[in-house]
Amino acid sequence: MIGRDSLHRRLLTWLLIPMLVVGSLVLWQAWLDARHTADRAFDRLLEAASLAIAEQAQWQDDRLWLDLPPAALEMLATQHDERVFYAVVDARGRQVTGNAALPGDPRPDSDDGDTLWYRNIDWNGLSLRQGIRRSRLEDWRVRETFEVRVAHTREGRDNLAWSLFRQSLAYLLALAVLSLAALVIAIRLALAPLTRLRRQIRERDPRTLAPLELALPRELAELRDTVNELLVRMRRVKANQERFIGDASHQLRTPMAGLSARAELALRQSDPAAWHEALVAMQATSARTSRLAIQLLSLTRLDNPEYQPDLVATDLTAVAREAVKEHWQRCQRQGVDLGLEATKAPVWINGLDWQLSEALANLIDNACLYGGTQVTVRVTPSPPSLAVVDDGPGVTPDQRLLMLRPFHRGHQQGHGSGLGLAIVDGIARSHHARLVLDAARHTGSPGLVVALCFDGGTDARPTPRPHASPPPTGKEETP
Amino acid sequence: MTLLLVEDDRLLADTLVDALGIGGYDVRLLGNGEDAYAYLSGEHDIHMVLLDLNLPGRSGLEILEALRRHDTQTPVLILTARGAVEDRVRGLDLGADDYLAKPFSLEELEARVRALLRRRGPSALLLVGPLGFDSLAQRFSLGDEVLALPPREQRLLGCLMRHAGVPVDKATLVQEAFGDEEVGDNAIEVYVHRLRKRLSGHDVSLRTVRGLGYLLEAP
Amino acid sequence: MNWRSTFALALWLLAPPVAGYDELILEAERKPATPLVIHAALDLPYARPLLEGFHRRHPQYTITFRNFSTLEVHERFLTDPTKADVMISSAMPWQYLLVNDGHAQPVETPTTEAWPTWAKWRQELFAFSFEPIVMVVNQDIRRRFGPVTSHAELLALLREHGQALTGRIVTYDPAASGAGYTYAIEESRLSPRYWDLIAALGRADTQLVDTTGAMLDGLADGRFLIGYNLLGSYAREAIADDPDLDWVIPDDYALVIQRLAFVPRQAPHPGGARRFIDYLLGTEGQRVLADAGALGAVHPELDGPGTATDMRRRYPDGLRPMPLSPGLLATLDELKRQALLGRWQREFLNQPVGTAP
Repeated sequence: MIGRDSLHRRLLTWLLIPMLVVGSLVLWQAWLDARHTADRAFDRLLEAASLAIAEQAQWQDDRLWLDLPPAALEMLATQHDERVFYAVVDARGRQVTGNAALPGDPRPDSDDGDTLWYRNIDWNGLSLRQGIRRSRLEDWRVRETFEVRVAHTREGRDNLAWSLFRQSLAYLLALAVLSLAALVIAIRLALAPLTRLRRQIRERDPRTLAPLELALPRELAELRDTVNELLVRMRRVKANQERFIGDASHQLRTPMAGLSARAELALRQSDPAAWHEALVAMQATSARTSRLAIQLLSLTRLDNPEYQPDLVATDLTAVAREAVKEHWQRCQRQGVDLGLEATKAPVWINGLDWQLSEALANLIDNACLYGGTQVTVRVTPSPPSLAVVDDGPGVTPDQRLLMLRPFHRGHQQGHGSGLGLAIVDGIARSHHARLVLDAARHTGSPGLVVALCFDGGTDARPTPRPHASPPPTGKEETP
Repeated sequence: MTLLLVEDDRLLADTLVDALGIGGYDVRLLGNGEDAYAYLSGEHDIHMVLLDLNLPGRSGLEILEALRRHDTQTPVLILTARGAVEDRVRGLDLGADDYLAKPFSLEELEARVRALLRRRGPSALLLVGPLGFDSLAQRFSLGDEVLALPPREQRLLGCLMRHAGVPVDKATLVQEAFGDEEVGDNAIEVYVHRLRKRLSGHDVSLRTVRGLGYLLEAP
Repeated sequence: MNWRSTFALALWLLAPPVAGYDELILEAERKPATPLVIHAALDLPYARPLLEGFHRRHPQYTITFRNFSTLEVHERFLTDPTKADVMISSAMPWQYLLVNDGHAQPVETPTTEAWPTWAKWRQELFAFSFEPIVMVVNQDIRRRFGPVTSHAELLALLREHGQALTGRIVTYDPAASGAGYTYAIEESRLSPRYWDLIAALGRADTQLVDTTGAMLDGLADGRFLIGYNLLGSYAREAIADDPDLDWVIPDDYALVIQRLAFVPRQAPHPGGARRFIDYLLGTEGQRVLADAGALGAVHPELDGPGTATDMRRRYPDGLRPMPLSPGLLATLDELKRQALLGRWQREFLNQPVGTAP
């Protein structure tokens, strides 16, 4: 209810609620005040009546005596016809006269003059206001104290209190309405920059990533700057993507041109042998272009942050085993001996088996293309890592970082597309693993180890195996 | 063997029909989902289905579901252009036996068709090059001669033949040959060595897959 | 109030000639029959036309009307406030006392809301009649001394011809008669010249009695020539057939008594009670009062003989109805009573100041 969906309503509610609370308090105060004022006004009547009665008190025949003035009682009844009660009590507490046995007042005498106390009492089921006057007879020899008690019902004073309160209420209501109006206007004005921001964003061309230019108050300015930073990053990504698309389309256009040209040429020839030769060449190019297309798709999917599913417990050994099973024949056909190096025990990490399979596919592919005769898929248990080792010519340290860039190829010829390592890098990133490139040996042909290291510890070196060379220096790591 | 190819791209479909025809299969072609759905929902005499997932009319997965509702025997190979994991997983969950992502090489396709037919095919006869196994008579043959084998070797060879062309890991082979018996690490090597001796000189080889196991291969 | 005052009360309230009470019952003529009990200090002859009028209009009520003395109706109520549905009495201070103490319930109907403010108190106590206090004068006086139409003229008459009138004037003994005391306290409040009149009455050896009946008897048989402070309604009835007597509403001032009615808080049948009050204050009931009784109708719309409107027109300055206000409580104050009676005695007996009463 408290505007989860509207800032406007939130502000209004959170300002209104305290206002209402304060308003209620003020109203309560006004009511108390009205009652107090009415009481003070009407207590004058009690004061006057008790005085009129007290003045008639005399000492006669050894007792307190009084000629009750009717006016004293009359003045206690206003046009509201209050019920009137009176009692005169002597120094010993005996009621001398009266029409009701009114109670006294426990409060003490005042220091000089008559003592006057007023209070509300409940008498005989009636709600009365009582005034008492403790006075003293001024006679020649006698200094008798006596008490005049007068009381009347509350109609008149309640009426006055209510009409006073009604006035306050009217003022307060008018004030409340004004405040509310002012509040609404103020909120609208205060939130105007927000409206401006909203309008500017809405009016933007949805395709543009240009920064927001708008003068805003401090809090919104921070928001605007954050959005602009995001836009900068998005521009960078977009630039990367555009460059990527440019490179990719170039990569696709070139072989397409080749295919087309070769087919055109072949059509001009009439020699079946020439055709065969042409078809062989075209088939090879098609195959390569197909692979490129697949890899492009992988790469875009990996790049997409919305596409990442949750990582689950995955056994690296099983993934490696499956990869060897799957790719063995193909490698065999290319004259490469694919093998597995892993323990029987499973090695568990959080990951996605299909992504790791794809990474291995790319690495094995690369190893077969650029590597030598023996490619091994290696799993180490701790720290967990998945690696592909080949005995090819290897890659120089300065080349290693470049290799990760899409479309870069370590060797100018070759059948690869240059995307393989970029894809594997993406997969490593989504597994929160590090991609490590290293030479397999120090002597002879260095070969290449491309490893995905999980739970990146401080020591990034793969555990040394009996037939691998000790870890060399100067290896390249991906951050 | 009769294969059903469900594919809507003309170039690819014609090429596959021709290629597989040359390979000795009888290939029927359906070019849209509705026809395939209708055909496979009822009785058929197909030995294997090559199913493209993206079809006009019914989707490949719907057709697969319809088939598997009454037929769990006929092997299905899914051809998918999407390569997305979901498709692959869904397909395998729904009862497909294998999948192949486009673009693929013909060689790859033929190898997988062969493997599937061998594994799930209806024939009583399992053939790997000159090596044969008659599942009714429970008899191995090499070339024209009968190959007499002790039981363990039989089980081992049978397993390798069923997975011909695909590496089989050692653990599976041990399980196959020795069951739950406790054996030493090198037990399998001995039997493999024996089998190799028997197969030498023939056009079929028992290869070692480094670190993994072995496979049976015929060129 | 303590027991001593109650006894004093017993002494000086009006006592009708009958002990016990008169009762009049009018049966319901329509089902369902609802009872209605009225306790009053109102003689049957005056009450009957009112009750019959109400009964005609609302035949579903079985009306039980009981007439007591003013003392008895008050005492009975204090003993058992649940008996009566309507309380009627001419003893104004006592009715006021009961209502002030909270014994009445409010009656809010359009008729009562429209009732003039000087004739009601708090929507609980209603004055429904308008009965001036009159002097009754024998024709003889007029013949011999001229008309006596005001207190001032009476005082002048007493001063000049007091000899001739010695012992021939009668009035209430305020010490013995509640009504007399009430009139005395009112008149003493109106003007200090009252005491001159009392002194003059004393010097003329005015006879003091405690009932209206005694006064009327004496006037009828010529023992008394002037009756001072009689209830107009009773006086008129009594002397209607007497050619020698005249009743006079004094034109300098004249007290007016109003009969008061209220519905007790614990009335057993408040619905019927409210209807009755409504009728009493309505034009119909008031008309009955104006025509049949000599009680005087208060209703502002009614005019003509027997209505307050008419009387007010004829005596614009002089009428002094006793106000329904807390001043009535002062009338009941014991000390005040003692003070007043003391003074009254002193003045009447022409005793010098300082003599013990």
